[in-house]
Amino acid sequence: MRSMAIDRRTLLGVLAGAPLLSVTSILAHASGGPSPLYISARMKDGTHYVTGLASDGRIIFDLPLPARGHSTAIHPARPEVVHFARRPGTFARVIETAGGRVIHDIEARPDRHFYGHGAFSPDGTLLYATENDFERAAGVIGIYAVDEGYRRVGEMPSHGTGPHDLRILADGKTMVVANGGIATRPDLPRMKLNIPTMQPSLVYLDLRDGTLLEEVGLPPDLHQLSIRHLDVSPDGTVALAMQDEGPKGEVRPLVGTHRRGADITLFQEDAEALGSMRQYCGSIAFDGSHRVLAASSPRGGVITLWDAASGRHLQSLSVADGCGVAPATDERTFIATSGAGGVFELSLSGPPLLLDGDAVAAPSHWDNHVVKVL
Amino acid sequence: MNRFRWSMPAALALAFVMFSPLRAEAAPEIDEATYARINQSLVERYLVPRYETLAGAAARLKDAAEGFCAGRHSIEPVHSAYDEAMDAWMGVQHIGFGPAELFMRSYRIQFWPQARGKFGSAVEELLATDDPSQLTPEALRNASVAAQGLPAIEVLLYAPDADLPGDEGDGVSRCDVLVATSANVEEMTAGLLSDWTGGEAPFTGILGSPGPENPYFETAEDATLVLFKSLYAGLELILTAKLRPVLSKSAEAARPDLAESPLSGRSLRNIVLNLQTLQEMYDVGDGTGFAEAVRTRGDTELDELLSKAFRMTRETAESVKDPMTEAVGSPQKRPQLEKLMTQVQALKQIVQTRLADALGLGVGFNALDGD
Repeated sequence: MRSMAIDRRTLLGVLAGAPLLSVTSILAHASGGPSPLYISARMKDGTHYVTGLASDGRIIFDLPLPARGHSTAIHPARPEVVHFARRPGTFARVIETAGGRVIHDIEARPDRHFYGHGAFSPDGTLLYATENDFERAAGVIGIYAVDEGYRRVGEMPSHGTGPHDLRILADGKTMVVANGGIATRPDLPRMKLNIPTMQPSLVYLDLRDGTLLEEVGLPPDLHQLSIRHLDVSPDGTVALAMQDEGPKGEVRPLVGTHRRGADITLFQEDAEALGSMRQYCGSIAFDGSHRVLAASSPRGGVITLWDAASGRHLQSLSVADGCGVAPATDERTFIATSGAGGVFELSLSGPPLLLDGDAVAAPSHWDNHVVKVL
Repeated sequence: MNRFRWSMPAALALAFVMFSPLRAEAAPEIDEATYARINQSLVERYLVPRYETLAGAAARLKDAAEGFCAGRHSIEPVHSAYDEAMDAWMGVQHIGFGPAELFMRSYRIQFWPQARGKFGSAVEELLATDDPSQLTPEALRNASVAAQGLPAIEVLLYAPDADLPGDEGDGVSRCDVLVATSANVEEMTAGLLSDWTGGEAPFTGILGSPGPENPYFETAEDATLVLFKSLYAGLELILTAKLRPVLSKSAEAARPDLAESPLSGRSLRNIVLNLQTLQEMYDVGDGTGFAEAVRTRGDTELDELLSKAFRMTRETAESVKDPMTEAVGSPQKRPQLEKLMTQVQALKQIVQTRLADALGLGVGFNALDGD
């Protein structure tokens, strides 16, 4: 493993060029190694890891996992993250990113499993995780008290089946949850049980008590589009990425946005771009300006870039088995990871740029999501 | 399509050439023409004949159900027609793409294991409506998926309380539901066959003419990949649905109620037929199909390994006699089932890694099983 010494140039660069960063973020980073830091699960030589990456592709930490990981929740104030098992996994690993070490393991309740996503409350005292109450076939949001050793202190209904991604809106009071709509059971791992009747939804919950504030669905003829992954912008726009469980060969929207009180806006004008995504979107992320969206399709070997406000397709970039996307430092640029190996920087002005740090020198399968810390 | 294949680090590649010169020389890239030939043989010699068999068997099941319920003959011909239809379905159960996806046919023919344990109540619900208008073809198409297909017919024929032909007179009798459900299955299997072979755009043609305008397959390699995934899915279904949950951790913990076709006592027969059809999918005969490509590449070792693995696994399955629901808890028979599970697991591994590699199919890590 690499040394944890702070990369001074990177740090100074961030301090100089980041007037919008909160003081706590900068302090977290001052004690927390390179900035920005990216986190992703990967498989290497048959073993699963959660891995910290610098933006030049250097590996900062590499921690073995008991099984395949999925996504990562970032603590708002200190260098601490929680990496979740992929569904229907039951572990979540708390990592102190400055030292690159595991400081705690969270085990799912015996009658629950994780879906792979979670988020911290704005003050960093609570962790929320999407979970399956599989005996009742009901989605729940598990609640954990961070400073009590991540003790599970309660749960609230997700008001749908198969909650997957969840985010906290910038108002600090509202949680948005993507209920994918797909019922599963851990004894039939990864078998989808209700494709003919699935009903995905996007729901907004009051963070304080779980009150259902708003629920939106898709038009009836699109009920087989599983709403899976989310990103949020400071102005309250929620970006959503979908996976089409309907018959193959059809072209339906896979990317959209939503604002409270409105219908879901589906990006559906560019049939060619949608067709290239092969009915599957793996990850979605806003860029640093929150004006551009990257939506990946590992099945199509393509990462699509969209204008978030108009839904116009801007660009498609070929990345074989490309799935993880996260904002890069500059506006309108992204970091992307590939299951075939390789970490790339994407922009609107040229082909994907393969980063040449040690992350890409050794073959490894980068898993579904890469998340930016900061 | 631009799919990734592992390029080995240079040093490793060099070692590979030095230590296995024969294999390296005899492993030409698989070209589009070869993929097209694999696809064509699988469609013409494997898929279409099986869909013909299925449509024929389902038509006979419908006739037998009608004949029995009209009082023209005993229940025996219905039982054997049900077995014939199930046998035929086991030949294509693993094919989830194309016409099987349209109108959710695959799910409606057999919503298993998704709805296991719920077929009885779905049938009871239909019976309880006592409303013949619920049994029109259109109404039934929109009924619960669990009430529409072969598992519902199994419940109607074999449930311990099965009372056939059922109440005469007004309302809905068990026989009415049997006739309607058999007709529904017949209609779906006829649709499968005609979508593959008939009409303006038969799916055989779509699969055989990949290109940028083809919404399903850009290249012949894409189509081969879909066929390959079906082969893999068949093995995975045996392992993860037909064996593992039923065997559970021990004889005491076994769950016979989770077996496929538990009422008609043909769970193991299903597995034997699955293994047979999957082996035939690998090697269609006369050196065509996936086996052709493996042999073209000179990988006789893999070809022999796969043939042997399929044969041994099937022999293990054949060595245990139905009903599997009893065998899982039997100290004498259970070890053979555990062996079967291990063998299916190994077979799946060989297919997933070595066969995919030999076929030059770069199945992406995230593309194959993303979340």
